[in-house]
Amino acid sequence: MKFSVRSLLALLLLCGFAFPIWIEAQRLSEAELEQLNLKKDLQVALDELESFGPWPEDRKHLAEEYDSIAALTKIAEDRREEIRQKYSQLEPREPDVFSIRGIPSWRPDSKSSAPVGFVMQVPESRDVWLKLAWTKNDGSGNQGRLLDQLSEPPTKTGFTNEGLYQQKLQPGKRTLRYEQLKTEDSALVFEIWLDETRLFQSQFMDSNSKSKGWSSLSGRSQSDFRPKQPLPWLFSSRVEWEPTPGEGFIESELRPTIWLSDQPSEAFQEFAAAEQGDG
Amino acid sequence: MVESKPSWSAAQVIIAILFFAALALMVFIKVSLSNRRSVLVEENERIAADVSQTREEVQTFKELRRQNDEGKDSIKEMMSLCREAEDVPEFESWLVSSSRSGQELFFFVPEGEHWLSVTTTSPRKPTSHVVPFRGMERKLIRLVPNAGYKFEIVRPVLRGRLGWKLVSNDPSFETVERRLPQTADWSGRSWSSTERVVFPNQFVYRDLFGFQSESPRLQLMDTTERGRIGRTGLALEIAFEVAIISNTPSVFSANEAITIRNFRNPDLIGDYAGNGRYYVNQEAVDKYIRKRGK
Repeated sequence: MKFSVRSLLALLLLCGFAFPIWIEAQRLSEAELEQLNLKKDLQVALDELESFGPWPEDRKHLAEEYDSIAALTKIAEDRREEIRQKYSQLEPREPDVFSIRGIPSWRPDSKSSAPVGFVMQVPESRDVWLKLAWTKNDGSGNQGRLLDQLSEPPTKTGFTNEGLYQQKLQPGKRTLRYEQLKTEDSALVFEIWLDETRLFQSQFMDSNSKSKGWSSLSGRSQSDFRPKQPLPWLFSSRVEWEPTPGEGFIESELRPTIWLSDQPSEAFQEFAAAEQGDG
Repeated sequence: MVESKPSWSAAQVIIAILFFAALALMVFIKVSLSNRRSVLVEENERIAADVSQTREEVQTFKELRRQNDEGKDSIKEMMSLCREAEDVPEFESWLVSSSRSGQELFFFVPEGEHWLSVTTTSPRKPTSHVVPFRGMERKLIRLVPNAGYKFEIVRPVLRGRLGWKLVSNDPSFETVERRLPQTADWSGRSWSSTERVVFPNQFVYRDLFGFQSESPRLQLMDTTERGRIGRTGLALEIAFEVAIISNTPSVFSANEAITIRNFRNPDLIGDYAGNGRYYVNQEAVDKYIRKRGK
């Protein structure tokens, strides 16, 4: 078959016209694919939305239930502050009586522990020493008189700044707070605050550590200690850590313990690194 | 001079027609494709807007649910901080309770008729080592609505008789105190922790599997106190079960209603009662229980 120049030109023209059609077909197919994906996304989103109620009416009623709980939460948050204020006060006693009461406290967020706090009235006529040591879980940990006699600073506690510490409390109203925090690499840190001053900070050296709870003086009602009555043990915290990741947590053998005493102990040093904080 | 016109053969004419036909077809296809695409693009924009709006709505609900869960935790935590009945706030139309260490229970009852049921029983059958408890009873105390309460198991420091006490922050409620018989040395306690943020008579779908047909009792506290009788070493155990009975219509929470709808039992749900509650369709519930019980 023989093609004339005209025929060739005509064919070329047709091919030239076919090209935009091909481009248009490509774009159409892209738009179709996009629609398919969008429809899938919409279905996923709708399924998720329907888990909050299949009909808009259900979701409206669910939102009303949530609103109602939000109002209750506000009531509870206002009241807990009032409760803290109320129980942060001590009832007056004779001037030679040492009084203590637990301050109601709560978790600052769902991942943290609630601090443990006490309000104390330290009499002028009595020396009151705040002490910290690491003690074994053998029942001796909450007997202040035995703890006063500790003479060897603890070793291998797993904590930084391990040692035996003490500080004489100034007379008057004092508040004491024990806080547990987590570092960014998930290590447990504890801090002791006296009034608005951070007395002490220590970190568990293994990054994978957490609190296993604690025991403390109940303090739900005010306790009063007359001059001859021994001062109370306050607090002991349990820590657990994971020596090998994934193989489970074990409890640390020694635990930080805080107590009060009439006497200073020879082997104890003053709390170091006092730091002004924002409270 | 004779002008010569170009002469078109039949084949050339057909080719020319085909050419123009093909051209016309191509133009038609191009226009159709363009139209179809612009329709699709419009549709896609609409669907994309729907997707983003739906996702936003999902996000809002997720956030509300998170706030709701955290809020309930914070309400329960606040209740555990209470030390006296006066500390319990008014919680509108909700029934809120928290028991602490199995010894103290703080709760708020809203409007409506409510009774506190205090049951003291023997958790174990008497044996040669276990002394029978002689004070088994169930006391029903009518509660003043819209009030906070503290229920407390009163335990002597070491030896003595156990008792319980119910105090309210409403002055019109008269404190109820009860001492149980039998002196013992009290040393141990076990309890299951219960915290509630519910509507009175709130029905829970999973309760239907337990076939509770009577008016639901809401257990607030379950504690067993353990003691020994003097030097005999014989054990005495007393179980305390504290529950609320409310004479208000049974309701499902809106959240629970969604679970029920998802389980395809929408007939159990009655009319909307407001404030995130639905009345329970008692007839349908009874029918459902009978059917499942077979």
